[in-house]
Amino acid sequence: MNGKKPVLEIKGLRTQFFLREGVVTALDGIDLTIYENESVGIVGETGCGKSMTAYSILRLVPHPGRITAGSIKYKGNELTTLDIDRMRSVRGTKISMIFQDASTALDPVFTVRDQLGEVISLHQGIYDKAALDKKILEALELVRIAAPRDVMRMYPHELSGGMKQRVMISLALSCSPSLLIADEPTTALDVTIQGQILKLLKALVAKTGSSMMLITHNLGIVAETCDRICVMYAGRIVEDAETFELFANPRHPYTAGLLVAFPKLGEKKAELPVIRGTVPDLMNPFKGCPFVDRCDKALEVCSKQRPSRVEVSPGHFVSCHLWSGGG
Amino acid sequence: MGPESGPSNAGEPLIEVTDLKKLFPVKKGVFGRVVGHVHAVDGVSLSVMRGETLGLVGESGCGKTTVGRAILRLVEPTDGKVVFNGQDVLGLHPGQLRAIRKRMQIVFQDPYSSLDPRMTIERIVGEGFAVHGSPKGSKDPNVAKRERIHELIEQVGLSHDHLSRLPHEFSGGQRQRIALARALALDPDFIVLDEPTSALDVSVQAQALNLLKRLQSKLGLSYLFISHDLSVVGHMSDRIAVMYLGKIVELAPADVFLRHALHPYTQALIASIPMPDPKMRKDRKGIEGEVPSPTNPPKGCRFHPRCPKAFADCGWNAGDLADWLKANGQTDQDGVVAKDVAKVREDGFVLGFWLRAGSEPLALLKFLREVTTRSKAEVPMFQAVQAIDTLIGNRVIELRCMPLRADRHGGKSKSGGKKLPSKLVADKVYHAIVDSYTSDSSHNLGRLLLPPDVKGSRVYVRVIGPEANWDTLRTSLRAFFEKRKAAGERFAGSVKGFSIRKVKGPKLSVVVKFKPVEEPPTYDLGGGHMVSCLLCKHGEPPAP
Repeated sequence: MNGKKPVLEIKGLRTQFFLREGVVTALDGIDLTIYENESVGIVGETGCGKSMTAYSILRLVPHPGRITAGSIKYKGNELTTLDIDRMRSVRGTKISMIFQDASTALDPVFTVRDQLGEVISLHQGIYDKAALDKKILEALELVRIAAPRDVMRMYPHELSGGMKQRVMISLALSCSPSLLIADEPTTALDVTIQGQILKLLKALVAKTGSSMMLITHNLGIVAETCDRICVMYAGRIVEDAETFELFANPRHPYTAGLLVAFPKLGEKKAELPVIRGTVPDLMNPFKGCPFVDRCDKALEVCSKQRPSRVEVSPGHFVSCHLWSGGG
Repeated sequence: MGPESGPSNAGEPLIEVTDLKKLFPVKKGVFGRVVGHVHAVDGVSLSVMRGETLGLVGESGCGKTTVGRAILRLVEPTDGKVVFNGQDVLGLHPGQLRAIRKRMQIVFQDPYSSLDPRMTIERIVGEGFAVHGSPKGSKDPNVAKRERIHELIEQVGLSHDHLSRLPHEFSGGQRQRIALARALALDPDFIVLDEPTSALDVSVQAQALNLLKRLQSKLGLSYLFISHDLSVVGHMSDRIAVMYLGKIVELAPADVFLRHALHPYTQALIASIPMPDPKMRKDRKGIEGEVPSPTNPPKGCRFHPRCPKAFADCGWNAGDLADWLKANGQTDQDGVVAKDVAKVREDGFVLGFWLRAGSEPLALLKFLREVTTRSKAEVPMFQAVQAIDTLIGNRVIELRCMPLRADRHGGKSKSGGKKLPSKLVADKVYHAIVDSYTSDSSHNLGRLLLPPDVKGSRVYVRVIGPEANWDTLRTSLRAFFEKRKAAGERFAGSVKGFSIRKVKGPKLSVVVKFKPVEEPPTYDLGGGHMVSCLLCKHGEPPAP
């Protein structure tokens, strides 16, 4: 993409969970590239594998899950085969993550100072108390927390939801990573606080020059925050394109369905258009397209053959037989 | 009666709520001493017409769920009135309440915890019949019940082979349909929908919303639709009410609401919603700050500390100044305030700085006065400052109030000839001072007077400023009550004392006094549009 250097390259990533009942394929052949200074949005419904993509990148897939195929390259270095110690040095300093629920992600028995201090001293080797305090203060000032000196001494339960999320962001950014993964960073927050946090994230990413991968189920958030959007469905990326292109010309029937199913402010409709049915069970392997049962435009080939990823216009990729046939 | 038929012609209200209040006690210590109250709902009035959907939006903790539950008496309201179909719900005894509950139902937010995991769907949907008896009909009650359950489950888009299953076999969207079938079982007129779709995904949410609308027009239901999602509420509702910290700040028909919202909070809420259209990407202004604690809600308008349009009269008080000083680093180690001040005390519209032993008030006074003049233009809070001066903290003027005996001559005087215990006299004295000194600008002492304290039959008055002010106040108070007595107000004659007494307190402190302000009233702008904001005082909408 116009000479930009990729930060992260994912090819054919497959993550599976080996349960007693069978094998769940949570991610089924993800191809994704994130370039420098770019923010990429991952949208999809519950269980489509958006969070699992993030966990796979950081190699934090919980037991009994495993990455079974594919490669993840961070600036050319393969991550899937890295040993545990090396992987630990990648997390936090090179790629870091903001978790969905800040109230459970922070440790309730340590103060903000302890938690930020641990990250900074482990990754940057600063152990001197005064220097560490200065760094912590800087990290908190970066996320515009009111009265950072007081907040430093507080425990997570003393902070409001918005403040906790700010502390999470400062934790994630404290070692200036080149890729920030934000997993539903505002889902637990109110709209007005959500607005503040998104504004802050956008400003910080622009300021530090890192790339961002924003995971959310809210199309409004990606529309306002991201340069490029990947739409996921049942463990696959079904469509990806630049934000404006995707909203103007959604090619995959699922994307198009999602866009109209969202009630828009000021638009009064008697009924909302719906996508019928529910998300399929990932336990059963799909022969063809996973969306076939809910798709109004399904062809005969859709249930038999897996659609390949085609470029319908420059930078706009779709995995759908409607487009791979004639283009 | 479909949603298209409009709310305005839908006739009389089905539910009418007046001045509803719910306080939750905050307890502390081993003995559960009540130390304060959470004002979850603090004077809410609304009505739901027949066949109408009233949307109730607000951020978490604003009391919207409590309103829904208090209407059904799932939580017992502290005060207020709820009238359902002409019947006062709050005055009913348990038996009557059970009968009326048949007609009012609720669908809860979380479909994962609102269905009993050990009951089959058939039992869950039919549970209402166990309490209220099987549906009427000439047939065998069990057959009638079975038929009704089948009808219900098909109505919500499930099939009857689902009936023998357990809740865990269903997805979130299907569970919410089951909860809806349960609510519909007894043919209610009114359903409280408490965030019915917030646990659902977008594609499933659309299905659920459509189902709700279809059922409403088919069965003529009235909904109270509670949600934090303004887009969803906008889609579903005929009228929309916005709550902030236990109060309704704006209520309007949906079309007016989305285009001409007037309350700054509503405007901020609308501006905060991310639009699923990158062309409408805006440089979001949003609002700063967070929702304050409902235990001690801000004085005046509750939104004023976050309001981008706040001005001098919005209710600025001690807490705001304390926050400002903190945010501007004045209370840090090297700040001016920290140097001379031992303790900062917030007391409504008065902020007191207790000086350290041996400290002079001059530096602090100078600093506070300078800040006030300097920041007046940008920070509206400083426009509300009435006085910055020293306070001799260990003295008060004591007014002793005598009880009034019944007047034998009767009927001659204004206050009537009734008996009045001393406590009530003290209360009258208090109000007389507050009303005429603080609101009447002809008393130039009003600006310097602190809010009086009433303790039993005594009223304590304090004044800020130098020594001389105390004597002036004493003379003024004496004259004031003489004049009231001469005007025929009997209670004024029973005030004795006017002596300066020594009390416990700092010898010298510095206080900043703000203009006391009441909560803004609700202005009716016509067409069912109600706004509770001083900007609408003159009936003209504020500039957008």
